[in-house]
Amino acid sequence: MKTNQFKTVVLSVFVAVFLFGCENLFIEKDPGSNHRASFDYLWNKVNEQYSYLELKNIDWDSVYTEYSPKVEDDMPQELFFSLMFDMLKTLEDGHVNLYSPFSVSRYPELAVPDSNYSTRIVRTTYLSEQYFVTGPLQHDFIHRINDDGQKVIDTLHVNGNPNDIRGIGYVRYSSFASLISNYDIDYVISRYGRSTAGLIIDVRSNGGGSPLNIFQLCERFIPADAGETILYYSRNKVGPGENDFDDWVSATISPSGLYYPGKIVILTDRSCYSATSYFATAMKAVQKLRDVKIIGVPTGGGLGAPRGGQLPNGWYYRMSVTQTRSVDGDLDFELGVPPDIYQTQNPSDTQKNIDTILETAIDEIKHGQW
Amino acid sequence: MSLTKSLRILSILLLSYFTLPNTYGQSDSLSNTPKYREQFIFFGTTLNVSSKSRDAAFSPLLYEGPGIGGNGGFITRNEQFEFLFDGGFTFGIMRTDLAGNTDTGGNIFYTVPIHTHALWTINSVFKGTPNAFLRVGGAVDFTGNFRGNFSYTNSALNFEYISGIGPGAQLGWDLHLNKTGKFFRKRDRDLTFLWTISLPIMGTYMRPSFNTISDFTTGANFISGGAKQNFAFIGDLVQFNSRLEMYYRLHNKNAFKLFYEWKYFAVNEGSSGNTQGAYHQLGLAFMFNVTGNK
Repeated sequence: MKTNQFKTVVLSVFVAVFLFGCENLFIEKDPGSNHRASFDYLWNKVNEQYSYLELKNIDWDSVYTEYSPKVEDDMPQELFFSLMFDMLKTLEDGHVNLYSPFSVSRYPELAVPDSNYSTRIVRTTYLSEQYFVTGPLQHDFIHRINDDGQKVIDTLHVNGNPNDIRGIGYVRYSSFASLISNYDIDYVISRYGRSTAGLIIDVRSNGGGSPLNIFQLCERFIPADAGETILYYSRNKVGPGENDFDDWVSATISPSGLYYPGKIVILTDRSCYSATSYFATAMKAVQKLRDVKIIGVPTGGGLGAPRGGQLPNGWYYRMSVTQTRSVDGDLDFELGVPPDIYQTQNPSDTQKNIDTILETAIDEIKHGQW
Repeated sequence: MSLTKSLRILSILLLSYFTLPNTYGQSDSLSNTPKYREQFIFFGTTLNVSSKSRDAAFSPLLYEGPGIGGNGGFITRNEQFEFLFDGGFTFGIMRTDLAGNTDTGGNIFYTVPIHTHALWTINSVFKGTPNAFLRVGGAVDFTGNFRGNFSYTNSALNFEYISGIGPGAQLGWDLHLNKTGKFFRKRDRDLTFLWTISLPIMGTYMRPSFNTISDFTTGANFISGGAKQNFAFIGDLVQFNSRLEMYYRLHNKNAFKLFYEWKYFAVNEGSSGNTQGAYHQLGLAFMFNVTGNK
């Protein structure tokens, strides 16, 4: 009898445990996927996690007051998306996006191609036909068109010395998403290190990518005796409060690889974003150790690293959740890293295939005060 | 019918096939439990019938999906004691209920569970039932859950590492079936049925930081998610492991192991929000008898 009871107990346990996954008792049910739930969720996430509300003087509560009454559960999803697009636009941040299956919201200013850079003009006027492509870096000596209509290497006499004739190097880096190897950057420096008086690094319209490339580049630009060098500081949002950040953490490098000894000019425009703004910020630190100038227009910012997530309705979002400041404490570089020499593309130069900003850089290397 | 439900039903049928006829088809006169000592190393494959995950740090939605994997381990047992160490891996894809509709993403998941226990027999519990036993002791459980959802951009890699220590218990039954000449009973059969549970009461966990990313702009490890080790007691940290096992001994002293495992876990504290999950998995392993001559 006892054996039969035992068998029944054992079998019951087997079947009961097997048939019913008890986790449903503990795991919360999905929230509703209606527009209201998604709106409230997104608004709250930005309220708790977006890192630049204070810097940009954004009253996020008033944003809720403005948009919440417009949200209706039965509105078409395209209309709801449009409403969220407008709401997120107030953050003026290219790192803020809403991804639906049918569209992606964005910061409109950065979505318009910048008129300060033209690949066509640079290649037709300043580079030879056989400009080099080393990894993600396109480079060549700066050329000019002589009286015979032929492209020749542009040269200058260093310190007026007629026996010291050098050229100017040009390096185009179009995306920080393309990883630079040690070989790539060292090859470029070895090609131009002794034969040029200056190196122009053109990162205009570079929308960003991996910050690791910044370290790769800057390690070659600081003097060998510079030791450990801080490029900028960053801190994370660690709580829902407006000022819940952790301590500032420095981005630090040490000299590595070949060193470029000449003058360095960085070309920027408003389409420089994210990692490119980090690069410009880092070069402001390098500037304290050697000859560096940034020429062009302020970058587009993007100094808050973005996180991603999902809304109750299945759409995805991302937004900035860190802050960055320069070594001098400039937090407002998020709004754009300012150039040392402000210069925009002159429309009349565009008609003549002249790159105004590049011309300014060439002139600065030849005749500028350093 | 969803794949998950189909697999669940298939697994029920499989286990029923082995358990029901054996349980009621045996002789009423069970042989006395012999003194025994056996050690096995086992390797096998697992079918993850269903994995579930809701990680509030990234999404309010529940992800669910099947997976496949493998497992292995070592067990030594006698009538008084059992020690087990096993581990495995599972990978698969989880999706939300909105997948294919408004959700264009999905989680690739990779789970690494490790379990070990040492259990001692409590003789007095099933005195009247030969070969049945209850064992109690301690267990250590670890679960590493990794999920990749590239729609989360920089937060694509999310995870929790949970470890815990606590009590474990086992209800078991060693059966000897005399041959009857019928199907499956053409020779004597030795089977063992086990139901083992463990419930860690304290442990550690690692979860992504509040904002789910590391400070990779300063060179920090991108995939760390800013995670830090935390200690918690049961309630804030929950793991429950339940496994049903059947050993089917071959006449060369090796054995097959058919098992079903259910595991639930949750981290109910931390700045990044709670995370919950569970999995059901079926497994089949071959057990190499490595018992010495002693």
